[in-house]
Amino acid sequence: MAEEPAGTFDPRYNPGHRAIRVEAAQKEGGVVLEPFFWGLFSLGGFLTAFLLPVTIVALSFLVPFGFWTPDRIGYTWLASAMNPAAANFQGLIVRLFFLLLIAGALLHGAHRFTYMAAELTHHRGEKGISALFHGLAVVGSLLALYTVLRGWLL
Amino acid sequence: MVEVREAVWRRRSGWWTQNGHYLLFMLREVGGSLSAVYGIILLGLLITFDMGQASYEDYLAFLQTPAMLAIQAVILAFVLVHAFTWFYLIGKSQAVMSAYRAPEWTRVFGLMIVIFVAASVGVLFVVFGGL
Repeated sequence: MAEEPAGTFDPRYNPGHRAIRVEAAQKEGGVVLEPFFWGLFSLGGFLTAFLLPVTIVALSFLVPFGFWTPDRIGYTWLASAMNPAAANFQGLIVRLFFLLLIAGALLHGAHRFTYMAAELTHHRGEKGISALFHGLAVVGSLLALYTVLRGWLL
Repeated sequence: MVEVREAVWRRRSGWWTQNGHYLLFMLREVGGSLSAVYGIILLGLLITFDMGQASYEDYLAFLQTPAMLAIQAVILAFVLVHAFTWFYLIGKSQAVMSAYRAPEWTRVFGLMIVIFVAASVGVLFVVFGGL
């Protein structure tokens, strides 16, 4: 297939191409936040895919189904795991783990939910839904940041 | 230059029920959305931990009620669909982005599974103190 010429695009070679790009061209001046949120969404998806399943299994199922004793996820465990003075920076690694996982899951979920809702509502109210869920994800992430800093730097 | 009529292109409603790939795409979207619900559950864990031992233990007991276990099982199932269909897609999209030079998608998928298992074992040891 012929490459698109680098200069001005001639629609004779690909009718409909310009029409598909109309919305993108109109947005050119205002696309600032989209790549930023898309980057966070992508990073969140990466963290969610690799780290969330094992976390759900460990925190939600291994104790109720008798594979672990309750103290494995008890208060003393978390106090010890998040202890900032623990050897080999373990406490700080665990705090970073919770922060990245929570913020990643919230930002990824907000992005996915926005676009899923847009499909189901035929893009009605998309901007409002996006602002609401991305806003909630940012608030939740800041709350997670506050909780991991408590007992260490705050 | 030929005048091109501008038209806004929209998918038909219910398009994602038309074949298995589209349905899987939508299930992955649901899985991504539900990951945020577990993010909220984790945030609750940290907040109740900050409030003290009694709050933390009450919260854990609440998470272990049958209704909450059922909800978390649904979340886990969708999160796994999200993860594994994404691993599959990484291999498939490489073929689109670099035709003829991309490795077989099965090799990429296998590598993703190896990284997934290694990351899971790492989390169990570093965060939860072992298997």
